Amino acid sequence: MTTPQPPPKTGGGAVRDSFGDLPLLKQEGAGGWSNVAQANKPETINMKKQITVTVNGQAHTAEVEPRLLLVHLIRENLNMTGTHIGCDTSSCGACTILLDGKSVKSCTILAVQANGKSIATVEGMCAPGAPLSNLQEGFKENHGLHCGFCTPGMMMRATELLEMNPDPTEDEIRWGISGNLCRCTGYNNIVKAIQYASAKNRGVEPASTEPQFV
Amino acid sequence: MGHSMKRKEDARFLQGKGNYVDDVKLDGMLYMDIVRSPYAYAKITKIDSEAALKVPGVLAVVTGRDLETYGLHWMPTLMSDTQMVLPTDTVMYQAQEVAAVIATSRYAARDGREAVRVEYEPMKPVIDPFKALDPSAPVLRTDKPGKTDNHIWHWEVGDKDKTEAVFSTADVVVKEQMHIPRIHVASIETCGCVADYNKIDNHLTMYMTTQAPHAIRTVIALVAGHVGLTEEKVRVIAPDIGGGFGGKVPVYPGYVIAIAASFLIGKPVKWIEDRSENLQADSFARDYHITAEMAGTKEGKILATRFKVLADHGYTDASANPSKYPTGMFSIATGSYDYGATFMEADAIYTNKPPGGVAYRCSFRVTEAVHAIERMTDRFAFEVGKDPAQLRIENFIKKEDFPWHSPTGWIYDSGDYEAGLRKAMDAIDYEGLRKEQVEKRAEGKLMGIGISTFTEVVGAGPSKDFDILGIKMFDSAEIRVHPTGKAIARFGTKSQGQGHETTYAQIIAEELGIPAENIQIEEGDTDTAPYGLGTYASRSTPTAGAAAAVAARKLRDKARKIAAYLLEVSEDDLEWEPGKFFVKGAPEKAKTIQELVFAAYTNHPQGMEAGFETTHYYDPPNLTFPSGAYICVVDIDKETGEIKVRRFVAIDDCGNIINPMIVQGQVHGGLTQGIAPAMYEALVYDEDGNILNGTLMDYLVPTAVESPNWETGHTITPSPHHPIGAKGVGESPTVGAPPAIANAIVDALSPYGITHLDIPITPFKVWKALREKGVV
Repeated sequence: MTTPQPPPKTGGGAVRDSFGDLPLLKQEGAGGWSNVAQANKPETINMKKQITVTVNGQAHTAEVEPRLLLVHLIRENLNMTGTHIGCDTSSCGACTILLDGKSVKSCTILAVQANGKSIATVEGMCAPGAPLSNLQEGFKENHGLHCGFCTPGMMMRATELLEMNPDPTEDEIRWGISGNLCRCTGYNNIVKAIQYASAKNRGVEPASTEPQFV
Repeated sequence: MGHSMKRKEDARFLQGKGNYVDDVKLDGMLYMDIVRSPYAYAKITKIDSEAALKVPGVLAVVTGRDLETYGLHWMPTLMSDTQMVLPTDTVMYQAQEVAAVIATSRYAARDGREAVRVEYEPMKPVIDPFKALDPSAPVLRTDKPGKTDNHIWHWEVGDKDKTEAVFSTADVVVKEQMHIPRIHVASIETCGCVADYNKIDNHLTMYMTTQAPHAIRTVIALVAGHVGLTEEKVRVIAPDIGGGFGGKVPVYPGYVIAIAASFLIGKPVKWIEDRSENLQADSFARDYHITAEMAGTKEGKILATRFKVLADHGYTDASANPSKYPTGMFSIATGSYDYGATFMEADAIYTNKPPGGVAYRCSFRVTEAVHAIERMTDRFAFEVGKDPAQLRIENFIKKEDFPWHSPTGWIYDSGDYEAGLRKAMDAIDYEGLRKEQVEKRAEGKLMGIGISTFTEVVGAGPSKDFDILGIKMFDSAEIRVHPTGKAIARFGTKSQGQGHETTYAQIIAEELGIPAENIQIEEGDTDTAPYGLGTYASRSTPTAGAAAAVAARKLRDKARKIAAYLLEVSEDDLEWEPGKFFVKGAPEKAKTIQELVFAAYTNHPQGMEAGFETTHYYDPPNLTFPSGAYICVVDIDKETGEIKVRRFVAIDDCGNIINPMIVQGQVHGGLTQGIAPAMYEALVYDEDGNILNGTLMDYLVPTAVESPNWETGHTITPSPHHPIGAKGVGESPTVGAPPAIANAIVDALSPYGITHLDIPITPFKVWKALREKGVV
């Protein structure tokens, strides 16, 4: 199923109507802006590529600049803002998604590299109004999130971790999420959240979620 | 109260529906990127925008000269210093904003940034703070008329003569020079905004990563009121915030440039700094050089302390401190111990580094203070040959001595330090560990045990002493209960992950008997929330949490009047139990809070004001003084210096606990932000002012692997003055953990005569120290 998309508003293809304001801007900026772009300059369009990606089971076609990062395609062209950006060096993992089932940092992949591939993001973990998935429930029950900014990436990484290793040890979980930074929780409860999901996935009763704070 | 209610805010975060600033997308929105200085100190000789303006999508390049036309090129800092928005002549630190590019897309703005050509004449910067006051050092703030050196201010507290007298006669005096280095909050969300100026209505809506939206609105009006952005024309919205830790308290130049750009263009302008910009240009904390001394008896009684601080503020004093406290709460450095003589002084200086002095999960310099006192307590115990736990117990302020008047003027509200320490010692088997340590040392192995028993000072603060830019540091709660008995409550604070939507609802539920599930909490929109000073310095529960309780009690008083009217009894004949009033001795004659609220809209007594809502501005009578006892065990590989944190037990006392799950979560997170500066994080500059680790690849934020499995617990000593007996807690562990870790490492190395290592204590530092002692 293909959903036609309007041309993306990001990328070299500029939003033309913005230029209309410039003469006005110049007038109002009497003594103001010294450096204003020429309103009528030619615009060179960076050669765009058409790509099709399947996101959470739904196909999307988009015209994108070759340099567009996958995370920007997801967030800005497809308006799925659950995937976050926390760094510019692939160090933090806030932008982690699943690309054909593998967890990847979507800030380090070009949108064109995802052409024809299947993407899973946090928005696909459960439908609005549906019960939370085991991982989401694990994070909620164990207080595995504070500000929520790292959480989507953390959960996408944990999804693959549990697929590869359904019953990981604490050490395996800690190493398994070591590409994802969290600044709020101190990780204890993220580990517990993943253990909770692991147990539920395997049909085992999860450990108590009561805080050990006596 | 006391119930681990699951968080109300989690649903949206878990389903990718949080609304952070970078998620805001408005019609016609433009994007801003910032050209930054490669030099720490240089004259700008030319800014050539020609090539940038030819980049497709680029609309304008904004320079300091452009802002100067509108008088917007300078702004005040929260400490009443001044800071450039964009420079007209000189750059003062590496990564300083030089020009801004406005474009139709994020990518075009970045292309434009790369095309701006700036010519500089580099100058020799002042980087070493110890050389900043040399007569030969260049005077950096030439913008300040008459400024002849790089000194900002001198501060002192305590009794100098009395302290000197004690030091001159004491059996034992110990002294260490320590550096608490510059670190970065590194919240996973960086800073940013969408400035949306509407020319028709002359109105600015500012979506912004801010911990203090109301104060920011006032600052914007102060900076830009002269161009028409007066305070009623400004609405600041702090949507969901991806971590703050103090980094989102100040006003950074990027926000102001975005406002200026939107104001002049009449379109929304988004600015989101990338991580490297964030790490290089803003949100810096600490950078205190401390000479610390302790005097005492040979039996181990602490008699006096003396602290001399050199505070490196970078280019401007942009700390986020209450204005009467240039060193923040540093004067808590007398610690948890009962002695009467102290003298503390600090001198702040300018250097060619970015503005520093935000908090990094800390109540205004408490971390620096606690590190100094807790390190020196261990140092003193080592000197007199006494177990550091025993020495602490013998020196603690006793629980019956509260409220306790500290020699620097604080009135500690409550505490039971010995109970906390004994609980931590039992939990970790302190005696057993000391025995094991003796055996390990006999085998030549390095094992260390470190203690920190700290007192925090949080919840600023009483209006007689506490203000920021003159605005008193009260906070507020407004509660509106709808006719059907469900409520919305709004606050002057702003959660950045602390769980306010849950804990505030729990406080109101406790006081008013309306289930927490039926209480909606809102913060962060200055058009709807009552004025308050925001969330930092562990102040939300001490101030706005107290406001919630008092406001709920005001409403309960109204409910009592309505109940008396409906039940036809006098108010004195009524008794309250959570959720209803009933007639004394006749519990079947009762009205639930929902019935009473409904009556407030449908059947209220004649002469009574209709409705069921109120607002309270809470001015705390004192700060709250949470405390903690932390014990850390480390094993160190002698050959490599590798440090393994084997166990870490944290016993916190934050008074009465509203939600144990959230308090424990705050403690976990704070502890990881404690191990971070203790072992991993520090920003390093070379002599030319180049930052050497300005990306997340080499600024070492701990992962789940470096972060130990924290073992936590609590004692409860209620605050006597807080309406529900609670104290702040979010920052205690960040404050208390570093000295516990440092003390453990130094304890492991102490057989070789090593008495101090500066944080972050890295394997290399350990190895080097051992090598200098001839051990490896």
